[in-house]
Amino acid sequence: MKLAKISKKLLLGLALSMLPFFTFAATFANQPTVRQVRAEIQEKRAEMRAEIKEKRETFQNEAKDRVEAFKKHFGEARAKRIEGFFNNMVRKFENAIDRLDALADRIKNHLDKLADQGKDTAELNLKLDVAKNKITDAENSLSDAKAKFDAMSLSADHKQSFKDVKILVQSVAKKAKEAHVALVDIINSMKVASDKATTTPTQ
Amino acid sequence: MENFNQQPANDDKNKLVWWIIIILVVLLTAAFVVFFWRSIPYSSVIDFSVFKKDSISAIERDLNAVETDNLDSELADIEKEINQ
Repeated sequence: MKLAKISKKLLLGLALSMLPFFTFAATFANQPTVRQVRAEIQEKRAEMRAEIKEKRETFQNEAKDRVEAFKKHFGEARAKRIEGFFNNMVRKFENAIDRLDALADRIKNHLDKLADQGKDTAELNLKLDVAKNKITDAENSLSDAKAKFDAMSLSADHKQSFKDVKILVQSVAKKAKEAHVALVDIINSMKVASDKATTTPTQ
Repeated sequence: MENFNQQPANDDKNKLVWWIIIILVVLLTAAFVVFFWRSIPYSSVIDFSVFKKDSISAIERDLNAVETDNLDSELADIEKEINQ
């Protein structure tokens, strides 16, 4: 009888002692972890990249139509040269933007690792967000410039239309440079921070 | 005679304690597994990028290799073609 009572009490105590643990586990299981948030961000960026890729392909596929339209005003050879020059320039921009984007991701991975080690990366993450916004701005402005160039092929006043294209392209160049400078600034800050961490104070 | 009867009672007690310990361990392990499983991202069980060594100097080197000057140099060529 005594043994049964003791065992009952023990089991009740065990059940009660486990209750807070299960409550804690259930609460935290429903909250997104740092890794989950990072995975969601990566997923969103992948979707954005797929969208950008689709837009770029659409522009390339419309090249023939633009050359046909330019031909009416400039002749075949000049039309092809205009399209060729613009496409070369677009490819250079896209290449630079893609590389800056990939570098921003690498910096983000580095910052995440530092954060996992308990380092304060809040300020650097803010700077990185600014740089990423500049990269996105550059990509959006490039899309606008391509749309304007596409419209230019059908325009009656090519010279005026080209002025608009030129302004947009120059703004893309400016934004790409700013994004580059912003990333360099982050890398320099990271270097200073890592130098400080590795240098032991001497008295 | 009394000692003879006490022996099986003590054995029962020991067995019960062992059962309680086993149940406790199983419950704690199950709770830990559930908690851990829910906390890892669904897209990948292991993040292999953690194992890639990507130093600040490597990123800096690649960043310096990105050319951002003269990206719009073809504008002059297009302008020339249009103004011919």
